[in-house]
Amino acid sequence: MIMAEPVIRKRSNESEAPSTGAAPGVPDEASLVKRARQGDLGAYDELVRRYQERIYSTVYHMTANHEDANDLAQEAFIKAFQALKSFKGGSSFYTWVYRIAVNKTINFLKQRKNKAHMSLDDLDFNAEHDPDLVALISEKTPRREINLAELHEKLNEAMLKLSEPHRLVVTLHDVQGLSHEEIAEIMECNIGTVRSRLFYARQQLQAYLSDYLK
Amino acid sequence: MSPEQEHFEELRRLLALKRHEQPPPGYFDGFSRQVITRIQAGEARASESLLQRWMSRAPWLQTLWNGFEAKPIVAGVFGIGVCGLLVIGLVSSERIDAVPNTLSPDSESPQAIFANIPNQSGAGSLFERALTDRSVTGSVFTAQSKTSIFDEIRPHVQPASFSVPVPAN
Repeated sequence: MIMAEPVIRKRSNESEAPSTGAAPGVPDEASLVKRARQGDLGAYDELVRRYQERIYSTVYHMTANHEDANDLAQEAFIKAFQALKSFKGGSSFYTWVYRIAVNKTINFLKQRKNKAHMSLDDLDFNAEHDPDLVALISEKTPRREINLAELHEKLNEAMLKLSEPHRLVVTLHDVQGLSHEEIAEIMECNIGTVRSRLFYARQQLQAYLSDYLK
Repeated sequence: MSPEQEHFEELRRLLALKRHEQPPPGYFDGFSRQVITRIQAGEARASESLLQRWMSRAPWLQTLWNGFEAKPIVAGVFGIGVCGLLVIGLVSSERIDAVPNTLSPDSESPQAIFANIPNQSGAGSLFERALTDRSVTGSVFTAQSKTSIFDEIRPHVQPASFSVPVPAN
């Protein structure tokens, strides 16, 4: 087993978009994958750091449970490392790991009988100061007395009513900000399917949350 | 923008609320380390020795091994004990092999036993003849010299004493 020297860590903007190119002084994804395939855990550590937040968030929005999301996200990265030799490079490592995490999550959800509910404490402080949300609550919501926590609760309840594929599409597109093409690659379906699922899921959410939307 | 799209726009803004759902502070600081640790643990498990696999399946073996590691003197005593048992076993087997040579081969033989039975009306000779044919009163008796350690535990046939009617001349 090779433990390379710690690589330079890129923390800024890493959750904004998957970076496959190489910034100056930062090893690109391909070279990290190559080193990781040779057993370099330092390189793989860097790959995990690059995508951990996005992978975790997606799994979390699907499972609605921090502990489950933690386990599944870690297992996805572990499985990806073990299967690195079979990674052909046809897609980016980021998409490939995403696919592993999504498949693990869907399998997990199929097995899980009792769905847990999200904790309302999970909202961070900044949410209360998000101008869009403040406007949404104070101006656009018919029930003006509703507070942020209640709105969050209703939103999560509505999300959990969606089927796993529909919840996944909404999570990846409307929460994570992925493109239709990326989602199609992750879910291994065509773009038309992604669009139709997204439309249906939004319609469903729209119906569930009609009291809270204009 | 159509009203439906506007509705979806509202929904998208509402869904943005979920971006503020965050794990506990500092969670991601240790995430990759946990992943790497689990990978290393998995590799270590895959390369563990056969003995370690047995230990994982037999907790008492693990306990014994831990005891040896903690107190080497226990391991030494255990080793001496095992060697001692081996020596005792070897010596015992040698003695058992030697026992048949020291005993009189005829002292417990069926022929010797029946020789002590009073010869009544020629019955003794009849039994001796029967024993020579290795068949006595339905019991199988094999007259063999003691060459096995199992000779000591082989059941001895004590033939019943009965008289065979002999026609009087």
